[in-house]
Amino acid sequence: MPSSDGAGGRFATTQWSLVLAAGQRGGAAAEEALARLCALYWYPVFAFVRRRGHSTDDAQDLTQGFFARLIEKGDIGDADRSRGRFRSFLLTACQHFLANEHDHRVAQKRGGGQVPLSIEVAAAEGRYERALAHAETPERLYDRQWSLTLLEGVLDALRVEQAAAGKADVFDRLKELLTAGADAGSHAEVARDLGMTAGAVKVAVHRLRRRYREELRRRVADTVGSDEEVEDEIRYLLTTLGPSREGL
Amino acid sequence: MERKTCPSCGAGIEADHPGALCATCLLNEGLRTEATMDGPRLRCAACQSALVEDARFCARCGAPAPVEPAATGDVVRTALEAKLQAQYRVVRLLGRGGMGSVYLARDLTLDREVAIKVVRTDEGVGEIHDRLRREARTAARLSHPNIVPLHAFGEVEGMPYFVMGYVRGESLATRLRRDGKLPEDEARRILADVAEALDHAHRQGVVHRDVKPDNVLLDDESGRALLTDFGVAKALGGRETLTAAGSVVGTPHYMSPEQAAGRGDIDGRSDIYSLGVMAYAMLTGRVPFDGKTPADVLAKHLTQEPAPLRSLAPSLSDSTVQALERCLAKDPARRWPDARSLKLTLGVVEEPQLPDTHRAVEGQGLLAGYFLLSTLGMVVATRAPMGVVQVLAGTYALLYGIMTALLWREGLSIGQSQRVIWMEPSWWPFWYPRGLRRRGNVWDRLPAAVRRVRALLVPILVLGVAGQSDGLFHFLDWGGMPLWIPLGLTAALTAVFVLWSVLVLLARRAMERQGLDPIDARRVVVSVPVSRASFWARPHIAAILSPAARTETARRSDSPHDQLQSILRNADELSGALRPLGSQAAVAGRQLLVAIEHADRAIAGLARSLDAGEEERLVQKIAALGDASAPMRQLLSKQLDLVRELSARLHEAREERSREVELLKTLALHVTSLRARSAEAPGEVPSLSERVRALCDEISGHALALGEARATERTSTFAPAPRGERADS
Repeated sequence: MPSSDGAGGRFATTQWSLVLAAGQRGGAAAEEALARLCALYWYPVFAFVRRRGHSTDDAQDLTQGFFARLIEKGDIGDADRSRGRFRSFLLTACQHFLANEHDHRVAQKRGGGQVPLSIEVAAAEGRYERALAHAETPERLYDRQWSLTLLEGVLDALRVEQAAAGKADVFDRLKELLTAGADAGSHAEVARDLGMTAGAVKVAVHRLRRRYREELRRRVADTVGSDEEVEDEIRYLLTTLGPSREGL
Repeated sequence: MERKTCPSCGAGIEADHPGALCATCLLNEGLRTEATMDGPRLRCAACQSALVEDARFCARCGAPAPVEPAATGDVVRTALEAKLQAQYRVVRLLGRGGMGSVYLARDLTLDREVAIKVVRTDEGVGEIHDRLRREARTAARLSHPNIVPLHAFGEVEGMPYFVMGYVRGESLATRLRRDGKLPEDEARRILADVAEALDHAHRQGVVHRDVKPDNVLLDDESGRALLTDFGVAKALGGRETLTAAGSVVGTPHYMSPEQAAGRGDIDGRSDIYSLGVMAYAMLTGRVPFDGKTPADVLAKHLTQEPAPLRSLAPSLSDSTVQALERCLAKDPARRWPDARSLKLTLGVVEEPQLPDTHRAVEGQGLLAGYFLLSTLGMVVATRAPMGVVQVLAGTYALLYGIMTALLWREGLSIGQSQRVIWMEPSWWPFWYPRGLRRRGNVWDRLPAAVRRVRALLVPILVLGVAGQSDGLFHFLDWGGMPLWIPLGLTAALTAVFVLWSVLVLLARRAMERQGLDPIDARRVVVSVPVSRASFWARPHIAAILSPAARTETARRSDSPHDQLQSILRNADELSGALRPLGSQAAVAGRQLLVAIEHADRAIAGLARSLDAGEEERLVQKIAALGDASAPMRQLLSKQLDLVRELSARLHEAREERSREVELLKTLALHVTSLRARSAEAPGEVPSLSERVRALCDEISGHALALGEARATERTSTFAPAPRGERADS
C-alpha cells in the first residue's frame, strides 16, 4: 500500500467511539458528538417511527422526544458495545423508546424544555411519502433511509467544500461521473460543457472520487465502533438498497 | 415516477436516491478505497493488480474493486483509430481495467481479430515506455499455443499499446468470480497449460512476474488456457516491487516471497510460486494469504505457511496436493526446479481416478473402430480377404493387443482395460454410447435439435469411413469391385450430408432465437465436445440445456430448486385426466419454494441481528451489575429479552424451513411416482393421485396461513407488541 492513511489510523477516534468511550454519563465532548450524530441521522428514525403506523404529528413528537431523551438523559451509555454500530444502537434504542412510550401512553410533554433538533416535518413527510413506495418493514425502511441519508450527507459536504473553492458548478456536473462506470463518452461530453480538456476532467474526477471516498468512509467510520468495521458496514448498507418487495 | 437508470450498473435510480445518482454505486465507490489511488492509475485500488475486461470486482483482494476512472473511452479509441486505421479497424471496447483499455479490432491485412491493449501510465513516461518496448521485444519472441501472441507494439498519444492475439472466452479471474472454485481435473488442466507456457517462456529467459487469474484466458473454442501480459509487470514495476514509499506494483496476493522482499534476482521459480498460489485459489476458492493492506499480504508470503490445502479441500488427490505444496515453498530451491517438471506431474487428467497411462490410450477405441469399419467396408466391397487396409488393420490389431496387455499389467482387468480404451475422448463432439461417456457429458440435456445434428454425424462418419476405405484403395483392386458399391455409398453419403446441413442450419437458427450469438450457436450445435464441462457450465450456455437428467436428480440433488424442477417436469408429463392435478402440484410446488425462500431470508435476517454469545454476555453483564444502577439493569434486561426472543424466532424459522423442505420432497416423490405409475401401473393411479391432491391442499393451506402470519410479522419484527399497523401487501 502506498501510504497508510485513508482507512488506516487517520481517524483515531470516531465520533461514535467517543460516545461509547464516554460511557453512561458522557463528558461534554461525548454529548456533543452524540448530538451531532443524532442531528445527522434523525430522518431514518422519523421514517421508522412513521412506518410503525404513527401519524405525522405523533411521529414528529416521538422522534423529537426520543432524541431529547437520548441526548439529555444519557441513556446512551447503556448501549451494549458488542452491538457496536450507531445505526443498530439508534434503532434498538428507538424500539425500546417506542415500546415504553406505548406502555405509558400518557401524553406527556416530550422533549423537556430544550428542543435539540429542528425537524422539518413538511419536507420529511414528503420524503417519507416517496420512500413508502417501497413497501417495507419499518426496520428495512430505517436501514434504507439511513444509507440514503448518509450518502446525501457526503454529497452535501462535498458540494459545500467545492462551493467554498468557487467550484460549485463544476461539482454539479462532475458528480455525475462519480458513479459513471463504463460510459467514458460522458467524460468528453462533460469536458466540452465545462470548457475543459478531457485530461483535466479526468484528473478532476479522479480527485473528486478520492475525496468522496474519504468523506464517505469517514462518515461511516463515525458510526461504527472501530475503523475495521467500516467496510462491513458499507457492505451491509449496500444490502439495504436492494429490492424490497416480497410476495407470495 | 421518473426513473433514470444508472450508467454504471444499469439499475434504476429511485426518486429518493441522493443527487440523482445511483446509491448502490455510490456506496460501492466507498468500498473501493481499501487502498489509496497512487501508483499507475486504473489499477485495482486495493491491491494494484491489473484488472481485465469487465472486472467490477478485484479477484485478488477478494473485495469489490474499482472500475477506475473511466476517463479514456472514446478519446483513446479515436486516437487509436486515427493512428491505426490503415491496418486495424477498432470494433469495440472489450474492457477497461487496471492497466488501461482493451479493444477488439480487426486486422485488415490478415483478416483476423486482434486485441489492442492501451496501457495507461502516469509518470516517468519515457522510461516506462522504453521498458515496455524492451519487454515487448522479449515477449514477441515467445510463440506457444498456451501464450497469447504479441503482434505489435507502438505508441498512441503518448500511451503505449500492444496488439495481441484475440482469445474468445473469459479470463480465469472471471471464471473464479463466477464459480468460486474449480473441479480438480479442470484446475489441473489449466495449471498444466500455464505451466507449459511458463516452461517455454523460461527457456527463452523470460520471467512473467505477474502470473495470476487475470492473466490467464480460457479459450472457448479449444478449451485451452492461455497466458498473457508477459513482461508488462516487469516494465511497469521495474526492479522494485516494494518502493520506499511502500507502493506496490503487481499483485501482492500472487507474489512470490522473493518478489515480496523486493529482490532483483527473480527467476522462473518465482512464477512457479505464483502459479501455486493461483492453483490454491482455483481449488479452494481463496488465496492462501490475505490481509488488509498489500504490505500485510506480502509479509505473510514471506513469513507464514498457508492453511494446508487438504484442510480446505479434503477431496483433492495426493498428487495435486504434493505438487502444489512444492510450488508454494518459501525457498525457491525447494520448489519445482522448472515448470516442465511441474507440468509433467500435473499431466492432463480429466478423469482424476485414472492414472496418466490410461489417458495415453484415449481415443484408441475410435481408431480401432475406424480400422474395423474400413476393413469391413473393404471386405464387403471387394470380397477380397487381403489388401492395404487389412494389413494396416492387422498391424493396428497387434498394437491394440499390446495396449491391452500393458493396461493389464497396470492391474486392470480385461473388461476395465477395454472400457478405458473405448471411453469417450475428451475432444469428441458427437453422440457416444451411453455407458462409455465421460463424466460431465451433457448429451441428455442438449436441445433435441442439437442432438439430432450431433447424432446424425455418426452414421455420416460410419458411411464416410466405409466409403473412404473404398475410395482410397479401390485403385489397388479396381477389378474386383462392383460399381454399385461406390456409387451407392456416395449417393447415400451425399443425401445424408445434405440432410445434415439443413439440420445444422435449423438448429443454429433455433439457438440464435434462444439468444445465443452466431458463434456460440455454432459451438453449441456442432463444434464443442459434449463432455467439456467448462463450456457447458457457462451461464448463458447452461440456460439452453434442459435440467439435469431425471435419474441424477433423483439420486443426488435435493436442493429445493431441484425438487421443484422435478415436480414441474413430471407434472408436465402427466396427461389426460391427471393434467389438472399436475398443474395443481406445480402451483403447490412453487408456493412451497416461495415459502422456503422466505424462510431463508428470515433466517439470514435473524442471524444477522444475533451476535454469537450475546445472550451469555448480557446475562453476565446483568449479574455483574448487582443491585446498583437499576435503569441500566432494566435496559439490559430488555435487551436480553429481545435477544432471547430473536433466538427463539430463529429456531422457529429453521424448524419451519425444514418442515417445508420435507413437504416439497414428499410432493416431488409423489409426483414422480404418479407419472411413472400412470404409464406402468394404471391401477395404482387413483390412490396416488388422491395422496398428491391431499398434499397439494395441505400446502395451499400452509401457504395461506404463512402469508397471513407474514403480514403480521412484518409490522413487528422486533417490537414485542404490534399495534394496529397496516399489513403490507
